[in-house]
Amino acid sequence: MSHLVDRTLIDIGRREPNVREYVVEDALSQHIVESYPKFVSFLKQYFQFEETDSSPSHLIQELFYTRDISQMDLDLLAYVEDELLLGESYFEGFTDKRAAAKYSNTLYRSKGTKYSIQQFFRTFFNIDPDIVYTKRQIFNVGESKIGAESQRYITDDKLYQQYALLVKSELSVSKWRKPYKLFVHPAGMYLGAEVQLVGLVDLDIQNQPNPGVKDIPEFEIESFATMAPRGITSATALFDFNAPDGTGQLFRANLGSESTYPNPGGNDLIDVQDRPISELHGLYSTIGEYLEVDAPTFDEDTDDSGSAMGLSSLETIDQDKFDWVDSDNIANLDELFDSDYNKNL
Amino acid sequence: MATTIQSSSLDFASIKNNLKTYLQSKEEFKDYNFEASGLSNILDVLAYNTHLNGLTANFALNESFISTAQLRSSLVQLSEAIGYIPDSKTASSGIVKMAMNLSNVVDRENTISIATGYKFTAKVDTRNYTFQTQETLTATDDGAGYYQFKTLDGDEKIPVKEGQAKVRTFIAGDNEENALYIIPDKNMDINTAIVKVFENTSTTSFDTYTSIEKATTISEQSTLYILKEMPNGYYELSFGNGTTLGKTPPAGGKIVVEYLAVNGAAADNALVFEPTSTIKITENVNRTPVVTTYTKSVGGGEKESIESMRKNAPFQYATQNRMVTFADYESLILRNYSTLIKDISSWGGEDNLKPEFGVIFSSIVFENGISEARQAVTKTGIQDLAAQLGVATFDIKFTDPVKTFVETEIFFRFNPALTTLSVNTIQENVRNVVNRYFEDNTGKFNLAFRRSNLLTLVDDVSPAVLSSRAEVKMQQRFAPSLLVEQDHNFKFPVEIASPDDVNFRITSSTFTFKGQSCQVRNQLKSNKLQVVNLSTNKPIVDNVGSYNAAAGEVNIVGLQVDAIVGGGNSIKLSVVPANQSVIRPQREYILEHDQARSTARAVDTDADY
Repeated sequence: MSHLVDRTLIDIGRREPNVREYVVEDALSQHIVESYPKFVSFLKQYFQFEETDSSPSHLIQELFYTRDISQMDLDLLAYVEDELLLGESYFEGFTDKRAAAKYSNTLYRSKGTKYSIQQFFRTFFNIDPDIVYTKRQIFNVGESKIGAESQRYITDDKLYQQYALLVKSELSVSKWRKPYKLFVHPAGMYLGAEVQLVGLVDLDIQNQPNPGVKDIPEFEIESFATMAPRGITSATALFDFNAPDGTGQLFRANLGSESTYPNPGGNDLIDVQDRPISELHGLYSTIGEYLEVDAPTFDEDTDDSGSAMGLSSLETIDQDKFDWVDSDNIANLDELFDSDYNKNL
Repeated sequence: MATTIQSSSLDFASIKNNLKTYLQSKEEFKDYNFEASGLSNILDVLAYNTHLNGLTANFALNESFISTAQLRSSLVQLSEAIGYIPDSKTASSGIVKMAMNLSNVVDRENTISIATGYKFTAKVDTRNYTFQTQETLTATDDGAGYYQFKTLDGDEKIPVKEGQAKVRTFIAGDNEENALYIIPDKNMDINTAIVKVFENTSTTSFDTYTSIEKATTISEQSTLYILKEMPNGYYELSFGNGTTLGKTPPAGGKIVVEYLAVNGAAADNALVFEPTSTIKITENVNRTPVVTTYTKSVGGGEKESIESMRKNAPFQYATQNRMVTFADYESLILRNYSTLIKDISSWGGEDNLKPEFGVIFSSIVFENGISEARQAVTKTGIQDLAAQLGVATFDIKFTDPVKTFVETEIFFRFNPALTTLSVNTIQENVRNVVNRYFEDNTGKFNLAFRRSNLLTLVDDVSPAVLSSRAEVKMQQRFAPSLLVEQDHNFKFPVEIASPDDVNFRITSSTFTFKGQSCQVRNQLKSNKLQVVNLSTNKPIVDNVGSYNAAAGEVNIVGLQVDAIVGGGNSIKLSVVPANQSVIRPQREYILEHDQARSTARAVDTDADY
């Protein structure tokens, strides 16, 4: 590196600025200075030479930065890596060599934790893998639910056992296995690896094509109905769309309850919040089921004649638990909610 | 080995020339004649000054890093900066049993004690060494006047350590920061140090301080000391400052350090330990105990070498004194048992041949002369260490090292016109080079054999060696019980070559079976093993097992050996590796060279290419 450039240009403000001067005149006798100005100039040029790369003395400048990870020469940093990061061939692999050295202690002190593994991948490969302790996904008899939804696996001698972890990253395991095992892997644990293919989608929401306006087909309300599960009343309407091609479509929409009407759109917690839990338990296994009219409730939609409403098979309300009230004769929703029948439920 | 930071130019002539060129580039001096004697002399002086500065700067820079430092003092300081304390000299240690028969002594006490420091002399080669006990021993009358001495733990096996007991006393000064107490003794074994702190110089009560390396917890009331090597090779003792690392000795207090100054490995292999003094039994009766050697002295060590520090300090730093990765296990086990262990390999159970989870495997090559009993004690100690330093409740299991020998058959083209040496001399030189290659590059865990590297050395033996090639085999050995059928199973570190229709892949050394000279080898084009009569070249036992090339396994089933040809008690089983270019041993495998079954042959040629 050349030190003959203006030092303020290479100073990054971390150290006291180098304002060293060549005090040749002070070192020489006065009469020499006065009699031989060329000699003084000659010596000053010599000291400038001392700071150039051509002079081996310029290494003296490096001594100030010898252990300063932030500012030391990258060639010298490799020797620090030898000490702090087991050196050898790993140095070139670090994406941020200075950070790797600075935080090596943090890496080692947290060794054995998920954090250390994450830091390892950040430091070495600049990626953020998912670290999964798969013992939490083992199927435990008496605790875990059966079925794909539970995401539980039978114990095996690889990933699904007490001593295993899974690294999901975008890099092949062959690229990181060796340094990973040397630096952070808890010896004795099975190492599973999955390659994640991650793509970025540019939604460009502001420049989406205009979808246009679709004509809403003509429809009529076939019927209104109330579902009356043990006192909870929810209004529905059966819509009959008359498609232009002659194929009609029926679907039922939830109109909300008496308490939420005229702001229909779904059942509300307000309808059930004061109900005893024992009552709700018989109806819904989750609040989600309550909130969705067509929630999966093991529908027994085998006999729609009981409703006398022409229910489509899309309707999945458990008919054992709901009483359907034919409200064909009711002209509008206000009347529906005001009906004596409804109030007597 | 250390690398060094190269300076751009430390050649005097280059420096002077560079200086001249620089000055000539300046407008003010461009017309000067730098070859003139006056100016040239000035340039000489300045170039010399630059040379000296550059040299000093280069030395200073090199001494700033563990991987480049050349001086032990620099490495000691740099290692200390990352928390590594180099090994001191270590006392050689033996185990003895001591007893006395006092049946004819009247008025004998029921219990006899021997204070710590009871001395023995033991001769190694022609020199006598002093060994001594390290704790108080007691023996109780068995009723018939027989006294068997035991340690405080009640063990009859009494360890004795070589060395001269020394005591250093210091008076603690004011609680100034960074108080150091210098022990000017380069032969100190810091593991034998006992540090006692007295409140003042007149009291007899004291606190025994503990080495910080053995501390399990630290508070401001902890009584800990730090003892480590100084740059000049002596040792310095320091204490906490009363807050961070525990108590500091009170001003005016007395600090007493007792330790052994030892001779290191020179005192190893002492077999006979002779007591140097008698033990007072009664007022008028003194007796000498009968001493029997349980294990000879081993484990003596020199100060840690600079190359060892260079290698171990970074790994030690990486462990942070916890066992998590396989490298942590290797590093910390070596750290605690360096004088007993020549080499170690550790790996997680997930990498074991038969995976076992929640387990760490270690394979250890002990130093020569370490008895089975001592090895067992060491392994127990390692398990205790793992229990303390492991972050998970993982077990540690030990696997014996498996030696796999390498046989080499070297052929080299030799043009006698290109050398004045005889073909026999060249062949001998090639054999020496091959032997040296294996000495330098194998014999430890994880050291691989690489054929190309070996052949490069062979080619360099002489200009008359024009080219070379090598056939390589792996070999393991087994010691059969004679005249009975036995199974023998082998696992080689790498894949074995698949069956061939010309070359045998598996061959054993010669043995006799039913009066015939035989060998085990695979049937051509088959992985079936047969016992073949070497005279008739026909199988006499059609099937004695098989080999699995991909798994590197050879399983001999029901083999009967009546005698081993050529003496010895083992048969060598040689296999051809699938890839002869490289044999990389993993886990517990170690490669060694079988010189007896290796050859180097010249093939004469008059070609000069």
